[in-house]
Amino acid sequence: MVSLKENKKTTNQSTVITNGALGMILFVATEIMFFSGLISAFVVNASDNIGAWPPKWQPRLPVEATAVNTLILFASAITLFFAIRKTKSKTDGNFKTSSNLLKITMLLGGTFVALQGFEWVQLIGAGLTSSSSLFGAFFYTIIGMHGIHALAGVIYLFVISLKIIKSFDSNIKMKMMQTLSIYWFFVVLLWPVLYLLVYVLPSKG
Amino acid sequence: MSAHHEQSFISKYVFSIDHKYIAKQYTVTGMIFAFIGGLFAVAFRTQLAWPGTNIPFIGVLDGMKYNMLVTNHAMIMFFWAGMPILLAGLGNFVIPLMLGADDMAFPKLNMLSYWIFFVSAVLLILSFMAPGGGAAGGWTMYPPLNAQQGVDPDANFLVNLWTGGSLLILAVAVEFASMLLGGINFLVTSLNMRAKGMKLMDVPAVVWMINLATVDFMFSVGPLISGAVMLLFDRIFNTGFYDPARGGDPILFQHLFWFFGHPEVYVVLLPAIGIVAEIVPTFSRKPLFASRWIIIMATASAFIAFIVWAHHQFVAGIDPRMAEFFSITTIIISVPFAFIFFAVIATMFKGQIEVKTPMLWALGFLVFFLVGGVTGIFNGSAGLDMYIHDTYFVIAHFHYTLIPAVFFAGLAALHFWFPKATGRMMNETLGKLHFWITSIGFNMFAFPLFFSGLYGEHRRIFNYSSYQPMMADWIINIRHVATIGAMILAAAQVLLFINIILSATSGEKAGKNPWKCNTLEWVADSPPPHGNFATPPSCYRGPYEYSNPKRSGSDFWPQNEQ
Amino acid sequence: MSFLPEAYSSVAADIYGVFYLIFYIVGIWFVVTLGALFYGVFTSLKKQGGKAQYITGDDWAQSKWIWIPLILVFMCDLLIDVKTANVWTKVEIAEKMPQNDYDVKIVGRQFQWEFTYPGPDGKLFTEDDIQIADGNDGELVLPVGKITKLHLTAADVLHSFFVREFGFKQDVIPGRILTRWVEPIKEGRIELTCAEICGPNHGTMRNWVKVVSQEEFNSFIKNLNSGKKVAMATK
Repeated sequence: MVSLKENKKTTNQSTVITNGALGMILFVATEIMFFSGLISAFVVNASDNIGAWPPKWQPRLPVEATAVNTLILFASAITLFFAIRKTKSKTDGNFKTSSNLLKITMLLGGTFVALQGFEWVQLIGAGLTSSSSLFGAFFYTIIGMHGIHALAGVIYLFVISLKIIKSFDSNIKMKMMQTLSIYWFFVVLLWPVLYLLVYVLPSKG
Repeated sequence: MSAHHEQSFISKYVFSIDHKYIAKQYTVTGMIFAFIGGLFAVAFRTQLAWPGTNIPFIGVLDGMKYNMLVTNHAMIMFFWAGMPILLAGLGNFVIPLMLGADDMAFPKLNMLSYWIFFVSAVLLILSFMAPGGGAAGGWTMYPPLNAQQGVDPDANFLVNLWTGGSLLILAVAVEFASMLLGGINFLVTSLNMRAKGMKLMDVPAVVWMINLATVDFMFSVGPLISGAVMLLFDRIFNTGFYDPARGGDPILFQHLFWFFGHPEVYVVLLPAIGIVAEIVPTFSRKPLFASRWIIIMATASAFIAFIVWAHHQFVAGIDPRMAEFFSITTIIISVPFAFIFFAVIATMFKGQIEVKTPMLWALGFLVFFLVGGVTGIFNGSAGLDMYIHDTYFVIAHFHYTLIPAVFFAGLAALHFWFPKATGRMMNETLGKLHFWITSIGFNMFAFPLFFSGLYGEHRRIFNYSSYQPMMADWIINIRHVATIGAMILAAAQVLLFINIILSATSGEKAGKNPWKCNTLEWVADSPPPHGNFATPPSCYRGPYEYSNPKRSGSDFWPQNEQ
Repeated sequence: MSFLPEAYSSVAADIYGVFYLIFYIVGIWFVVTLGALFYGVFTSLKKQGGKAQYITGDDWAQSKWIWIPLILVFMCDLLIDVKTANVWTKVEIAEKMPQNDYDVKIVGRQFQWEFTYPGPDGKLFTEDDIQIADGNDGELVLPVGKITKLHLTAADVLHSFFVREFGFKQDVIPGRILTRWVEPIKEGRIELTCAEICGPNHGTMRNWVKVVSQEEFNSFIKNLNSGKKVAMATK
């Protein structure tokens, strides 16, 4: 994740939204367009290959196990939410609690990515690879792209959790956490869409 | 300003975070690539006019080498010349200065985006060194051809990554990541860092247009990157996304490509229109005609740009009903551009026009872009496109849009802001000579192609001797004229090079405001120091108050003066 | 304006008609706009002691000078839209396709065109279909004045079926069969080219279309069915 270091000078206009948050919102918007491209490609191919999506000889995706993993990712959003609330209520003077909550968020995110890696190893062993079928290609591409974003988010969470316990202006700390949360909420909220599309719906057909 | 202390050589000239210096880095890199891309064009045009010529460094062109040159000519001109010059270079230079800001919102991100761009340029150069040479499947990278060419499905992924096609796709994706970070900077800076009192409608047209171009780019590039990722995976991981034999869909890539590809045209066109909208009022000493409506119309066109993409695919086998819809939207998009065009012409009426070099280039843009604009109607019309698609008519058309935009408007901008960037004026005589020779070369090269295109001469053919009608005397003559024109166009750029070197070292000192212009960049010193303004300027009015009768004593009224 | 090739198909004239309509409309606009541009520049050049007029273009009295032309542009656009949609519908929309007399399957392959005719049963896509010759030896033979349905596809990568004198082209896609129709109106031998980049030898992917009289076509089909395909196909 790129660190969005802001121009030191205060902005000229009375701004509705801080530079960092605005920049992150724009970045997330382009990411949404990127995933829209992948999702539309997935949908087009799914409708072209009805009955073979995934093909009969290919292993099924672990819908239930991933449901648990989904809950883990949701939990990370909740801990992040509390970390933000803690800073907003100004009860956490030295940001110690917030930092710890961020570390828990990071661990939950890390668990999500690790479990997914474990799942991939099993699926590859069972014969679902990027070149075994079109469905496999889409699975690894879409879920892998999300996984890279989650991994970047985990690193981002770690960096910020270390930064906010250093002593500097708490307003800047709050802005940093705000910017971070936009990114991580994007990673979390994108997941159920992908889960539904890639795991749940094909398993019904 | 105390915050901007003396910098070391590295932090000033290499990893600079000063937006003006980053702008120069982008512009110079872009110009170098434009020259390389131009030489590619001269090489393959030489093959077309005199087949079998031994071209220095490349040898005699066969089908593969020819395809490689045309593919990379387009890639370079679009992504490593057009965008870095008109979007990144110009945007970085003018946005903070015209808004009265001291720098971009994220200076370090700005530096990072240039160096990511630099990496993409290195990847592009590496793609030529890969076994089998550079990519040769057309700049549109259509699969299945581009998913197969140079790929060995049994080899491991590193072998397939080390091919011209894969490296080019990677280079393009990295380049887009760079432009994306730059775009975030542009939009945040423009929204949050305007001078005190500067309302959105007080923002100069060129900044508006660059931001609209940025929006077009940022919201269209995602699908393309997703399509490019799938294409790259087809090459290196044997995924088969676009392989019909495995259930894949090659047309899908075309949609993802052109969903981006068309807005991308406006990414270079809108800044060009913005440049002209700054220069024409300044040199006519008149307000920009209906400036508010120009912004509204440009915004409208930026949105319509998202619903015209399939006009590149009329004959690609898409649903014919869909084609009819896209034909209508495509022709309708002429309306906002016609408005802007008429308004810029109206700006000149009853003015006091002084044809200095920047104005000359701007007028050149207007005249030649008009040719490109009206011929677009032919291509946009589905019923005719099924004949002229992929012929030289299309080639002539888009060279009449892109060369005026990147070249003429880009050079107008260079001559206009050169005094601000370097503190010295450019040489007028050399500049005008350069303009006329460039115009002659360009028209000699591009105009005859309309006729051979109408006769059905189709693109990307390295040797027309297989085609009897294409070996008629008049068509051969057209090829000769076009090639000589392209050579003149390329050779004329030596004059530009001399002019830049001479003017930058020994040009007349410019002073703060040589063109008597209203916008805020002219308040700063020439060249502006790191941090731009001694005191942050305030803004009291719009940027085009020329010859306002309420202002006595001078025919311009800077935005920062009460 | 004799730059367009001679029309060999019944729709070419319609397609060229779109060209002429746009050419005249756009030509007039081009001349008028360029005239206004040069008039504006040359009448407004800087004069000693001259003063530019302060015209913002914000009120209707001023801006009508561009709004009215703009409405005219819009009307011209609509006219072009209607005309081009008519021609497009005639050529491309499947339901508007006239009843055909013959069928032929055309396959693009790196770097040649292949043609398949129905066998003795007269139906395409059956066991007894006959592919004429190999590679570029066999030419596409079509009867004049009759409607032939073209079943277009590709074997490897994208190609584009382009016969200049027919006035249209169609990309061919591996794994998909697209249908177009053609009614040749003139006998003769014209070039079939590939108009979509398809690899290193894209530039040599040329074949011929031979438009022949009904009698010649009948004997061609007869020869084809009796195995003497080469005789007709190679000249």
